[in-house]
Amino acid sequence: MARHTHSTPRTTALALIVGSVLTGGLLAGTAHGQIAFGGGPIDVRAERAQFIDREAKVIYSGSVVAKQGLSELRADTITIEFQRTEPAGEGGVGSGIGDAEKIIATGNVLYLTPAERARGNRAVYDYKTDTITMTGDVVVTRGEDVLTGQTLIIEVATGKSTMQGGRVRTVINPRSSGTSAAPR
Amino acid sequence: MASTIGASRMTTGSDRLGGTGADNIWEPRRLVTLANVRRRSERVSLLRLAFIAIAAIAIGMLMGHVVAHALRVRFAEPPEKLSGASVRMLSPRFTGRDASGTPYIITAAAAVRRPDNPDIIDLERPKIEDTLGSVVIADTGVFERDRGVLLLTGNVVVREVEGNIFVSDSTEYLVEAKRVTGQSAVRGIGPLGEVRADGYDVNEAGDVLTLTGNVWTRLYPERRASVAIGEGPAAGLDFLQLKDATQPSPPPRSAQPGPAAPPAPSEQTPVNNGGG
Repeated sequence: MARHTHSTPRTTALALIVGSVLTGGLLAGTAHGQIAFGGGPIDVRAERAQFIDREAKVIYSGSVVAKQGLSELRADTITIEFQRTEPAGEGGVGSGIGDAEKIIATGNVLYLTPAERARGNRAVYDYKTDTITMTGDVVVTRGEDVLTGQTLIIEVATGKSTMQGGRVRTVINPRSSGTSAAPR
Repeated sequence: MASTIGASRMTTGSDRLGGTGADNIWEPRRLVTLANVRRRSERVSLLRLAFIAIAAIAIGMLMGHVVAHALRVRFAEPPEKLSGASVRMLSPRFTGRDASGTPYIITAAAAVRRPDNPDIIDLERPKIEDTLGSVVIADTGVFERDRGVLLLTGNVVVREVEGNIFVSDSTEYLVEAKRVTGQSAVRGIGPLGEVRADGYDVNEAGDVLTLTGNVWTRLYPERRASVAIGEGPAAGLDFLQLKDATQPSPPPRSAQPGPAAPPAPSEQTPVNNGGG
């Protein structure tokens, strides 16, 4: 997965500020992340989006839907955290923002792929490990198979899902292909 | 013996009175008498006095005219204010520094100062440039100096040096508050992706940007080359003709800008048959 750093030059008045913040926040670093195998452009819809330069993060709120290919990530709130290459305030608005580090989804989190549907209270996508970790009364539905637990780890590149923690319950339909679980 | 060849002999009046013709060969043509001299002197004196008088009169007339004019102006009634008149400047140029201290230049096709409120200046086809190469243009602008507010309306376009373009219908910049707001839809496109929203607000000196209403963002996995207007997602932005303020205005858009809206996410996935 190609990664590159994008920094925005200092801007001045009016919508120049708007332009640079939009560039530094919403159109930067996250472009090379993905929530689905195969990549492609990521569409994010929300009622509201807020970029906070000093914290190097973007917060989408209000029925947020992030879609890439055939995969979707839905939540009440999705926060994207970036690396900071320069201290806040130096180099102007939007500058000093590097690659995205995490995508954090909270509140009625739903991860949808053609193969499965996973629901939980919170999900975190880590760019370094390329995995999604979903926690909080997780329910995974794959075909007619249902898997419940406390922690679900999804490897985005391979599509492999692993349930961990708490009491893992599995309901497998004999006619399905089966699911993997690691009860503890 | 006195030589007389070539000699001239002046004659006097006495010679004339008593002289012979032969003695008057060298006699001057004018007979100078004391009376004549006196009369001549009198005439010269009169002429001298006359010339001086004429000169004095001429100078007096000139000075008098100047003084009289000055007096008329000083004691004249103040001119009546022209009602309905406004000051119009062609190709004005304003320079300044924004809240961060970076210089910028504002030009326009024309600037008109309102007669009822000189602190309000209407701008025609304003253009704002900074030292980094970014450009902001609009159809019209209104600058309220007392409030420190600059309002841009009509095809407000921001083009950054990196190739990002943002379009909206109106933008309000509050200089003192270091705040930028837009109550109309904004659309942005660039090498990294696109963004669209119904409104936006930049606050805290640009530290916080808030997009509100139908926020849509498309992010590309790989940075693309600079976006060509009229191609792909930039289709529909052909009206973006960034020209100098002295050039004619770009043609109006035939429809609201915006890419084809992506399909709304479905409530049910194709393979979901239930939940936990």
